[in-house]
Amino acid sequence: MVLLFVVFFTSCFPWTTPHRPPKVWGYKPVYTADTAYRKIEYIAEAKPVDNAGKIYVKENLICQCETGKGIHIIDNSNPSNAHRIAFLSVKGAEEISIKGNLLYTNNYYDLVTIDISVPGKSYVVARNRNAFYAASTTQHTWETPDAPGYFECPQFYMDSVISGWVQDSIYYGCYKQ
Amino acid sequence: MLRYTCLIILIVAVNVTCSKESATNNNPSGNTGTGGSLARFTIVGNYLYIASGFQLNVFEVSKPAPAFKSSVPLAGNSETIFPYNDKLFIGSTTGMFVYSLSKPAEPKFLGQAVHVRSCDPVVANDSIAFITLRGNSACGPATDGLYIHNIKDILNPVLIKTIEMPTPHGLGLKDSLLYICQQENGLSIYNVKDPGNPVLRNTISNDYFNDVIIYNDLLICYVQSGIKLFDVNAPAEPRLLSTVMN
Repeated sequence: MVLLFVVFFTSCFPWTTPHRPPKVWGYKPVYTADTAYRKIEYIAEAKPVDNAGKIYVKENLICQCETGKGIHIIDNSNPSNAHRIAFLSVKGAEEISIKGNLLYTNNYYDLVTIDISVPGKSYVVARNRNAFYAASTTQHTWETPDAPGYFECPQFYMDSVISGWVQDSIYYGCYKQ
Repeated sequence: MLRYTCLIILIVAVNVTCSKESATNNNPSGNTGTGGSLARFTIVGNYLYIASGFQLNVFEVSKPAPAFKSSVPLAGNSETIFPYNDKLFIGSTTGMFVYSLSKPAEPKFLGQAVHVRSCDPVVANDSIAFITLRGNSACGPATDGLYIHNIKDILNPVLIKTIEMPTPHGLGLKDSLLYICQQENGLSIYNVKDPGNPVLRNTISNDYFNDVIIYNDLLICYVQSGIKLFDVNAPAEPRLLSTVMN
């Protein structure tokens, strides 16, 4: 009888209800399973720099990340007239390294190896899935919204990436200053 | 972004700068270039190391397609990676970890440099590390400035000199000259031949300097308006060659 009482009236005792964090207005990630992000494209014309990132130099080549979008290629064969000649479109790109004729960068979480030996062209030699994935962190540009405020902490799924953010009522999770 | 605000860094090995390596490397296919100060992955020899959150991922890159070798758990959330001689320095939010690369496919934990601030990867020549710290970073409070450590005992760096300066960012070392980006406060050039007593040699103002790469006689500066290239044949007197505007 006592047991029944407890079972039926549990919800009447507020201290027995599970704690729910308050909801706040913030950003919620939008996930996509579309693999179109893997398309890597060499665009043989200079593009303006909007969100300048890391730089990398090798011989007559200077590379600069357009953070989250790709890599600007700068011809430095004449340092008195260095100029952008091309843009390598790589979604999510934040990092660059070059060894020999191969450029390594990140395409979201994937490590991609791109052959840049033929001027004016490039092709992907290899893709190592999720080499840049970092558990329970928000280290990458696409893992936080552009604007400051509360956001739902991103989840990691093997077959999808965050394609954007929408404003919504969310449970408090992460905060961007 | 957190890790950009959490700035610090740079170091450069006097004896083993990447630019010298590539300048003296006769095998073009083995050539690597030179990056700025805040890399999350790096190539050492035939291995590529990615500091990815709480783990260090190792790939062999002797063939065109990188081959996964190992994944080493880290005791902190890593932010930057810097190779130094046969070691890796991994800057994390909880300290700077030092790994041995004597077996390159399996980095071995040597210890933690507790006196170096967490997100301040650093390194310099064989015995001296130059680090810039900023007060308003995610690593906690600090006085803006250049911090010079003796790192003969790599796990126990000894602070030998602090020079307070506003808004220090990326830096680069060319022989005995140290180039320090100071954002809106320009680029400062110090002679650090006597690391306990650095001497200011020159300051370039009129731009917003974020980071530098020294590549042979070229000083490549990532400034707010684009990229500036200077000739540093006369190291203390950079001569502007060209500007790649954004």
